[in-house]
Amino acid sequence: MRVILYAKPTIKVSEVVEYLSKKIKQHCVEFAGDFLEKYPPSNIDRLSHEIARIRVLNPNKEFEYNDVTYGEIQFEKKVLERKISPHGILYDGFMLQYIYRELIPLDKRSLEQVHIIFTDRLFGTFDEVDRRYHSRVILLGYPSLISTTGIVEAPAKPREFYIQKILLGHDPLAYEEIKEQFRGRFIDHGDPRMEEVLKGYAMQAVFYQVFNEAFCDNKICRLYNSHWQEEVINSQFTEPEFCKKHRQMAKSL
Amino acid sequence: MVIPMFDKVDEKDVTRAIMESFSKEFQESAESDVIIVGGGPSGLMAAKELASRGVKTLLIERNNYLGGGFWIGGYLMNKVTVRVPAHKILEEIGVPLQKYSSGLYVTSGPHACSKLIAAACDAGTKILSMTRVDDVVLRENNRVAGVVVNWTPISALPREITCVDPVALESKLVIDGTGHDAEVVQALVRRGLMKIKGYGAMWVEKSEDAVVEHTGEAHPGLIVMGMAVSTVYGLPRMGPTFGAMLLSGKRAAEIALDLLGK
Ligand SMILES: [Zn+2]
Repeated sequence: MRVILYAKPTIKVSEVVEYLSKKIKQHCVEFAGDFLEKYPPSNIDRLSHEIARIRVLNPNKEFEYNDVTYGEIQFEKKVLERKISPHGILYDGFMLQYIYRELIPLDKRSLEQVHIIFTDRLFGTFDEVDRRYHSRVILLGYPSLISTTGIVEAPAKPREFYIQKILLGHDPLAYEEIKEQFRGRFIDHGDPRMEEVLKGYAMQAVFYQVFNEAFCDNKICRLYNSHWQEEVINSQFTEPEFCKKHRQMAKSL
Repeated sequence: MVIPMFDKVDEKDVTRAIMESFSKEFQESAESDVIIVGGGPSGLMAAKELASRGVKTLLIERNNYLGGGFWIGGYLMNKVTVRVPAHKILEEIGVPLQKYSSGLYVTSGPHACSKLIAAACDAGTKILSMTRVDDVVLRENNRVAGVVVNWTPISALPREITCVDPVALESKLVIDGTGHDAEVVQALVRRGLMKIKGYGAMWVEKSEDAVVEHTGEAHPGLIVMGMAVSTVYGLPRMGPTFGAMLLSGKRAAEIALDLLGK
């Protein structure tokens, strides 16, 4: 098997590649750079349109294609050309995964290859139970997607953080001040701990493909499916790395 | 003997001076490179950037004053805050700033606003105040090529009373900087040529960045900047962020220069 990691130059993953190479002995680990450079779209206008269509504008509604505007296509085009970042936009995760999969040529699509794409796009999935979108860190599958923005947005910050936020409303400056008070208790944009966290999620993608088992119920294990930032920090930074069962499984990788 | 303070001037000369000077400028403004609608922080910023690069720029403002909400900060207090790196813009035009924390600067609203207005005027921006945009001028393929304007008091009255037809002003590009109202965009929406997304999007961090990064051509010939961006793209609503407005204005000017091939 071949584990292939993709990330554009603004996302640091060199330590993740090194980590996986060390952990995985039976399989080959490879860094292939920017996914879109490796598998360039035949038509950038069409791809911009396709991505603009999967924006989630109303998180309380099941997925439906966005009625794309001229400006949204211009925006996505600039994102694809790496002129700007897709800040503040939520995309449908499954649709994004589909778009990426379609870019991989048919002869390169094999279960012998584990494709893991690190992206700064924020994606979410619609929850049938509470009938709304939830942003996600990782979407397992072919390819597996891991979002750096998702690491900031998806796992919840401490409860008291949100109480403060409700009190202060949507004032970005006040928001920054609350963040200051809780500094260290969550992973932020540009956080030096980001790469360490990415390692755990990359391992989830590998476990999923190799053992068909990605998550663990043990809170200390790197495969723990964290819903809170404090759980992310706890599972990714405290020793031992894995629970007993997953430590054994990791040895066979 | 009483020495007169002012030279003697006839009332008619005052009238002629106003009329002649206004009509000369108005005549020249009938055709510009760029028309900016809305004289708030993003409008002034874009105007300054464009005019200083020799782009013939007309700024249209519906009120009798420029600056929009830039005079006053939060809670009606006239201190405004800007986040790094937007402080550099104010520094550049000579506004004294105080560092509040590592990423935040605070300054006087009146000082920052008046300096920005002066910078836009000094750069050569032509200004049309008390003027509202009623509609857009369209060319081939529905490309925006100007605006249809009327005096603000006329626009405010029912048409049956005023019966004053508007006039058209042409330009190569139009920039909508009218805030949440997105007035120019709305003219295209009324014609069924544009859709706007309204609100409802999930609030995520970096919404300020999203406003700056969505600044751009929203319809051929029409650039959208400032808070109008959130209306057009359905970005989450946020409080007043002058830094984002200034950066959005700067970005709009860069995009306009690019489209004009300058
Ligand atoms: Zn485990």
